[in-house]
Amino acid sequence: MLRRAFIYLRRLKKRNISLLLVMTLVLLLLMGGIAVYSGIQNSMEMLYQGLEGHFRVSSADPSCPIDDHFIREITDENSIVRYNATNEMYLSLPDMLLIPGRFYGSGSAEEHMTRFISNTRSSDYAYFISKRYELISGSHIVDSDSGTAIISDNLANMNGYKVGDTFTAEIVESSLNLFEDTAKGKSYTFRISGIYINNYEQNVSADTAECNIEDNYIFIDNYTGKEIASYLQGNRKSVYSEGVQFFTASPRDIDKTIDKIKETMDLGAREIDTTNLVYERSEAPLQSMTLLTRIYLGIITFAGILILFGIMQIHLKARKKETAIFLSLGYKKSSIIMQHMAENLILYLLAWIIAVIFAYFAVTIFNSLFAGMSLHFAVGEACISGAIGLLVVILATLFSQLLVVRFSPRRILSTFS
Amino acid sequence: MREEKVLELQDVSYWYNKSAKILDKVQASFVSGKLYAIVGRSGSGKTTLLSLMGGLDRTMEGQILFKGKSIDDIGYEKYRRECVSFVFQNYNLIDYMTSLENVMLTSKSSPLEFLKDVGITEEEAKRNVLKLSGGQQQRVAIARAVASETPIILADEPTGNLDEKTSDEIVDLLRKQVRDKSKTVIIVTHSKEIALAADFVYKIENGSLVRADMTRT
Repeated sequence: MLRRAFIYLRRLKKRNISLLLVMTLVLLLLMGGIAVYSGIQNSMEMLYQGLEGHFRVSSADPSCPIDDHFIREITDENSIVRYNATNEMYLSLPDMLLIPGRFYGSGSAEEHMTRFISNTRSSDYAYFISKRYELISGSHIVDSDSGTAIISDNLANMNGYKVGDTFTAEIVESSLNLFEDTAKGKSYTFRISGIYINNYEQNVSADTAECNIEDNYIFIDNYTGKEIASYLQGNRKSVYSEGVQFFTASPRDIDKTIDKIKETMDLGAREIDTTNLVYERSEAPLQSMTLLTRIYLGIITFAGILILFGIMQIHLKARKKETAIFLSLGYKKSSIIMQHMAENLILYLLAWIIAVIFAYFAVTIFNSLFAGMSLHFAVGEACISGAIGLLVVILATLFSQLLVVRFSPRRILSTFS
Repeated sequence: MREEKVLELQDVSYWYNKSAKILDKVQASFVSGKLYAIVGRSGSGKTTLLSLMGGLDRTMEGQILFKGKSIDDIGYEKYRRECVSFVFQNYNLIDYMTSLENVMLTSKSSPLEFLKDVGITEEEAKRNVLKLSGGQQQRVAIARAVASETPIILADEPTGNLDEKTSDEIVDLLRKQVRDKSKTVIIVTHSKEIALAADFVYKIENGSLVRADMTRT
């Protein structure tokens, strides 16, 4: 059977060239697709390694607070690399001009009141992570800071502030719900450690209160924030009204960490949010490309089967007389089919060798022409594309052999004699 | 040598349309060491009969026995491989193979000897069959049939495309198989000369196979 296959391939070279060329082309397209797919997977792996994972725990139920004790419980038992606890409060700025809003010119306390957001680390605040805000001068607030603040560039420009300047904020009557009289009038001096820019185009109307205009937001350190919060929340207890962002070493650790937290702790009404905008934004195009590449590989595989099947059918129709002769000589149909399979597999092996050599030299030439680019020729990828291509050839051959299966040996007399 | 019944047709019928049978309860037997000719006008069913005897098709009714065993029991592929071989009018050689390679399709041993026996030289044996004359190609076809060492050779108009001299040589080769190797050679033919050269002549008429008296034709 192999001898017959080799004889056929040697003697009918012209007929088999078309099949060889199509097989080689399919292989090259598969290799290209798999190379792109591998590249995307490598990029995603680098993304995993380069980006941290984080999740947020918050609570709207006063009976399930987010406080330092809760934070310690979580960080002690789990693979948390750091956290950022956040509080929000409203303080008055008697000496600072704010971006005008609803209360501008009203003479009310709200005209000078804005939102203060305290953070363990301001760089870990959600809007800084997502690049909605970006620090343009100075430095972020860190754990050890006390009496430091970061303001927006618009606020800084309005008031002629720069990094290192100070301002004062007061607790006034309308600062927050839980209000202790003893806190009224308490003032805090902050040193500006950094200035940020707001990249978000907020839709500010005449009805927007000053404390809701993002450019008026002031970020302060956790130490001072906790003290202010303890007055405003009453009972000198300090909880983090905006929850805590916990960070893991990799986005892959998030699910495992959260599962362990849920198993070992009673979270009560506390909620866990795993939205990771930076990671999702970075991953989204890679996921899209992964899907597109899979579709591309599927199309190449399917089209390869169809085209090869078509060519094989044409060749088989030209070999009807030969098939009839073999049947009249007593050859089994299975033997004839195996011969055809052997012919196609020998051709395919040749196509694979040609494709590998071509791909290797193409990559070498490409890298030499485009300095700075670094394509890699991977043996593993060549083998994977070879395996897919082999499946294509086997399926195309089997489908085409239906012609042989349905062939009647009687035709040797009726058609070919 | 004692004659052996090698092929027997028992009530063999075949049709495409049951109301118009091509073969209708054909009865015949063929023994070893004899040359048979089957004659009949065009469309009489000669090709159909040959395809049935050669195991290329199945009977609608009746059975065909090879040395007492039904082809159904033997298996059609095995029957074609070990019991019968064909010589066709159009030679039906594999056109991209040499003479030697064509004979090797049915014989693993001494293909060159079989070719020499039919008058093909060693040089001609290595040539592609399309580079041989019609007569040479038919000799190769006979060598292929002989090399399979089957007891029956079925020939369908083996001299149809050949000149008179070459035709005589081909018939002589077939007769040699009958005489020297006690094969059963059955030739379907329009040729009166071949019919006269045969030991027995059958005629297909109205779906039946009858002995023909060639002296009256």
